[in-house]
Amino acid sequence: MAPGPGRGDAEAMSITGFDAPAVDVRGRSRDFATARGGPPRRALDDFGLTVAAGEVHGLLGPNGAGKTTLCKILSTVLLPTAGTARVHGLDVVADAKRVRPLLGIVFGGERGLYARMTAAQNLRFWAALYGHRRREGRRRAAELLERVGLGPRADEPVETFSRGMKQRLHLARGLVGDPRVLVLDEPTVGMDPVSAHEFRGLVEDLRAEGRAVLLTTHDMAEAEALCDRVSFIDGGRLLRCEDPRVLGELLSRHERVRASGVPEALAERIAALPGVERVRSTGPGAVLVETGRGGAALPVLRTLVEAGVSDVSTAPPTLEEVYLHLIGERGMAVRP
Amino acid sequence: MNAIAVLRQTMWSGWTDLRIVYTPTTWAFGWMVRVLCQVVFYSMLGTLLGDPERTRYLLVGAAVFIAVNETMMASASTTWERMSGTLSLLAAAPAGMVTVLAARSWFWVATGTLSSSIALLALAPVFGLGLGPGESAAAAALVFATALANYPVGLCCGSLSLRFHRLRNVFSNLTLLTMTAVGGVMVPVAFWPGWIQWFAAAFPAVHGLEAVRLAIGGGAADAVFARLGLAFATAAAWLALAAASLWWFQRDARRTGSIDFGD
Ligand SMILES: Nc1ncnc2c1ncn2[C@@H]1O[C@H](COP(=O)(O)OP(=O)(O)O)[C@@H](O)[C@H]1O
Ligand SMILES: [Mg+2]
Repeated sequence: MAPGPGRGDAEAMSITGFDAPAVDVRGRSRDFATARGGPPRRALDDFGLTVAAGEVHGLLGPNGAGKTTLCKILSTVLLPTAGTARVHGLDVVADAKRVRPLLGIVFGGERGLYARMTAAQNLRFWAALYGHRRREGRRRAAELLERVGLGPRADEPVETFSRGMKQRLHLARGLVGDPRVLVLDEPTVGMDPVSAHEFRGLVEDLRAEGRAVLLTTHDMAEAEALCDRVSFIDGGRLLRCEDPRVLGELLSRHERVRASGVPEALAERIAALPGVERVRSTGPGAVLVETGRGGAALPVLRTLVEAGVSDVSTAPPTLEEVYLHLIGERGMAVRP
Repeated sequence: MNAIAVLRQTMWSGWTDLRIVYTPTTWAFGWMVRVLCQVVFYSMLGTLLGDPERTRYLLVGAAVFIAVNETMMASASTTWERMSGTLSLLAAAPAGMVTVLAARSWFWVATGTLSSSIALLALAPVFGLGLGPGESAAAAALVFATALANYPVGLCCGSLSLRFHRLRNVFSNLTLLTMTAVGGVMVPVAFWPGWIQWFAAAFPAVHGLEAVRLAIGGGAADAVFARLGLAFATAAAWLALAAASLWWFQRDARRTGSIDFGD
């Protein structure tokens, strides 16, 4: 085989449209029929998004927002009801056959692996399904297991693995076809913090290799730490597409302080502090202070501690609260 | 395409599945004991009737249908892909799911051949059926052919089980029952009215069983091969049907969203 770029490569470039965005979704909708012939449920509603090569794009949304639905459509296992989605310029419906080799799919949880097979056997199986011959499949399996730190456990059955190890194997599985685009659907869900941290390191390597990564999560801190851009999705609609720094800013701006043993008068003093949006009573003497400005939590804490309140903690806002601020429904009741 | 690599890897995955189904001990003392009891039970019916001819007829029918019974379990193991949560990943893989689903349950052909041949050869002398070495070898080979030919029937049931998950046990049981009733296991196919005979002829196992009966009953080689040809011809049709049905399942699942991530 002659080395260097030949005619074949040039052809491949134009066929798969490497100049097109890695992922380009426009006006995507998907309805699901509901039981007893009710009106169809809209899981995705006129959704649009682009991901460039070498970008880690976060798709952030609460449960039921439509994240998995979008991942399934991109992975060619679900047909959309309307709109187009392209992967490197190829339509996921019309060109599904040519899209599949470009994609790697990883989802969270324990499933999607053959529990009785060893890690290496699992990867060799998928290598064959992604078009690798025997020797190449063995080589890739060994290489990927090293890469995700499972080399020493390569010949042990997957059922003996911890959750974090299974998830790393899942990522190796997603990489077995050398994909240009990775679809990661809540890959760190249920992982312990150490495993999740390691997993994030692996995702950062993928970006460095110029792959495009679409990462869904409902963990704001994860999205902030890992992503180049973040799209907010709720009820199947794109709310906003933002720099993740906006997320960090939102997280600190809307920091909450929880305290108990707070007398009424003290609660009123705190409510009057600058940057405090609301003081809610969450039980006898217990309050939840919501702030609306960066650094506003500090004087709240100081006031509480100086007044002799010792049971004090801070917490980032929940995803729902950040959403309410994003949509601009400030002041609307937040579900307890 | 690297269909060979896909097949090889799929057979590996099937082999690991087999190790969940049986350990050597559970196979010998669980499954094989059950098989032998079942074949003895049927053969005893003939003994009770005081009819040696009928006894041998029942023995061969019951023993060969063990292989048929076991290959129908391909229906259940086709749906195991849903249990391991790999169905969506197969659907998204360039090689697709049809080859994997069609090949993953091959091990039933092997175990079915083994248990059926053991039952036949071990119990034949007990019930007065003398088999020479040549006849024994021919019988085992034809049992294997029968298991192989029935495998696509199990696959067809499996494709329906994937699609109609709540009825997943119904298809293979109903088909096995039908084949046992009209397929010449207890009474010759010729006993039935003409249209049922035509219906029975659609099942590869019916021809396979007939080939075994001919081979150990001193039938001419051409007659045996003719039956074998019918078994494989009908098997090919079932295989085409199974592939179409699996493909249809994959296409439809894409439309309705019935394949979940991790499901
Ligand atoms: N196969 C399906 N049939 C009916 N409704 C579905 C199906 N899949 C998803 N949905 C609905 O679509 C919406 C979005 O679901 P999903 O994409 O799984 O959300 P997420 O992954 O963000 O939690 C939910 O309301 C869910 O109930
Ligand atoms: Mg989801």
